[in-house]
Amino acid sequence: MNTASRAQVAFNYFLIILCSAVAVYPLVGILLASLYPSGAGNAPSGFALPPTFEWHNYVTAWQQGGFSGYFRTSVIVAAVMVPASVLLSILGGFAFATMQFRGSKVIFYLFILGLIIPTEATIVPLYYDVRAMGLLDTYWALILLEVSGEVAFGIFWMRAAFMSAPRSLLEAARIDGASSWKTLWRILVPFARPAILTLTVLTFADSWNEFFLALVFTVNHLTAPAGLASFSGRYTTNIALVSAGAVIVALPILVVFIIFQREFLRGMLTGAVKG
Amino acid sequence: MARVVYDNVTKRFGEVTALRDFSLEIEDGEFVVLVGPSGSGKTTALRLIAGLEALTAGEIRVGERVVNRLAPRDRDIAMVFQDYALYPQMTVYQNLAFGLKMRKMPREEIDRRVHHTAEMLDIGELLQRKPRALSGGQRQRVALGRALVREPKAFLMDEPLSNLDAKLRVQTRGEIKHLQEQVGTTTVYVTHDQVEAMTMGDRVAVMSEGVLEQIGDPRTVYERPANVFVAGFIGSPSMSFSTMNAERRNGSLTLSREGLTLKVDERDMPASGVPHEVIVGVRPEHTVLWRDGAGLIGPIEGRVGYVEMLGREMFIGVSTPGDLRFTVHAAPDAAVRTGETVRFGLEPGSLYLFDAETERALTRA
Repeated sequence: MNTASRAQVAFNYFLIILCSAVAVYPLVGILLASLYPSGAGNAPSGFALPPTFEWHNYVTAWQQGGFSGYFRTSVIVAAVMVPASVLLSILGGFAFATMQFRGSKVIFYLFILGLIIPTEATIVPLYYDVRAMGLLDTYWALILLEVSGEVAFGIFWMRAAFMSAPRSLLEAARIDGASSWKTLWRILVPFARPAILTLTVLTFADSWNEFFLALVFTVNHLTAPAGLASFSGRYTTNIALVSAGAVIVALPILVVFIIFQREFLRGMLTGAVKG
Repeated sequence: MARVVYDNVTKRFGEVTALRDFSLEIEDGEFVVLVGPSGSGKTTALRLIAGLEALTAGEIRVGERVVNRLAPRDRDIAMVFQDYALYPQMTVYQNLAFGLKMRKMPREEIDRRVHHTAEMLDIGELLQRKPRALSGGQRQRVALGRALVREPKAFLMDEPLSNLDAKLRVQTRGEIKHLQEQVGTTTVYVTHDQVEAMTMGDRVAVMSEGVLEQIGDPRTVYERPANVFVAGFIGSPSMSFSTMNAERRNGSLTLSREGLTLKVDERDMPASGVPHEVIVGVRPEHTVLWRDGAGLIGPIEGRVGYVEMLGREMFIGVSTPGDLRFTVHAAPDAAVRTGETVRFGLEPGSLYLFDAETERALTRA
């Protein structure tokens, strides 16, 4: 290795470490804060280690915050919403990637609009729609709205993933006698597996982090982040407990990401780096 | 097995005409090579048989059936793609079996056919591997196997050798030809490589800009090219051309241009006579260094522009003072250097004459 490239490598490491530090800094802070003795007078300062490690804060936060209810909502919503939106994204992406039909461009741009327009802009009419359907304060309000928001990105994502498959692969399948349905499930879906897993993780994270919709459309079905907000509203002064609640809410996403880490990165890099 | 017939087929992509009034009859069991430069329409012609493109006008028949409006899967053809298009997540066995499975063939029959095909292609050891664990040559065999196993009416091959290295390409060329003879399935093969075309095809169809320029067996296409395009495309190095004035006098023909005059015997002249201006073509192997008394037409003098040493022979690029260019064939030990002036001659009877206006072949002289 020559000196120039060694300097380059050192610089790369420096950049990566710097970025990681910026990302990790608040997380470490909140982890340490969550372990301080709870109570108003015990506000943690900076990165000092807590005098004693109060693991019990987590149990207290879970019980006093009623997180089991919020988690139930989040799990139920995610369990229906993630498969549904990934499935619809696969079907929509397949149609836009492989089929030519009248108006396909216009319809595709319509979906892209869904990516561009912020939920906040449509929330008032949405509220009246949901109320008219009698779905206020139900799981369905969250599931349907989240799915419709998620497929905009999902279709865009899956279309790109399917379009990265060699055209000859689809043609070979057609000549071999596979129908569109079989081509999708037997050829394209296995081909795009990393992209689908990545989409699943991203969709799950979006669903789990849902805050705004839950706040507007539900009262008794708050999601975990919305529940956390209400919890922290009640315990503004108890930083240790609020921190413990925040860690609890963030944990599932961390676990999912760790499980799918490799596939997730592979999916993110599909097309970015020539195989 | 079946005949494949193109009947006045035209294919347009928007404003671009990829194939123009194309007619060709491929006999049952025949191996026909479509050859031409890129953009000549050869791949389009192949994809039209497969049903991967819809034709604009005309008719395509496979066997007795008009297939214009049939879906690819109903045409009973198999295709080998340039990039092989193996299903990446399936094993070799599953790749071979996929087409049969889609046709709801009984499991035992699929198994029998896959093993039989694998044996034919010597890929029995690879059946449980995935494509990414195969070498280029092995993938190529699996791609062939996927076509063979189907026992279709016709094989369509789209430059199947272009991703192989030179040595493997020559070897596989022979194997494909041998396999085709063994199974006797009608085959349409597309390539831009004229050596492949000449060595593999029972007949060679030379195409250019969406038009069929000539169809014939390799010898005919080489020895009796129908026009300047075919003459220039088939043969390597390619034929040298010069536009010259032609004049007939007492049974002999005088070709001249800018100080260069060639006298040749007239034979098989077309009844319509020879036009005033002709394109004279001569192949490198008939253009040799001058030897007195060898009976050559010439001598012609020119400056050596380049020397290509191929080991067994040598090709010399020469330009005459009138800027006519010839490729001269010489023995490898010929002492010729770039920049020198050499004298060379043309073998009698080796000149091709083409009408300068229509570029159609007139005769040989």
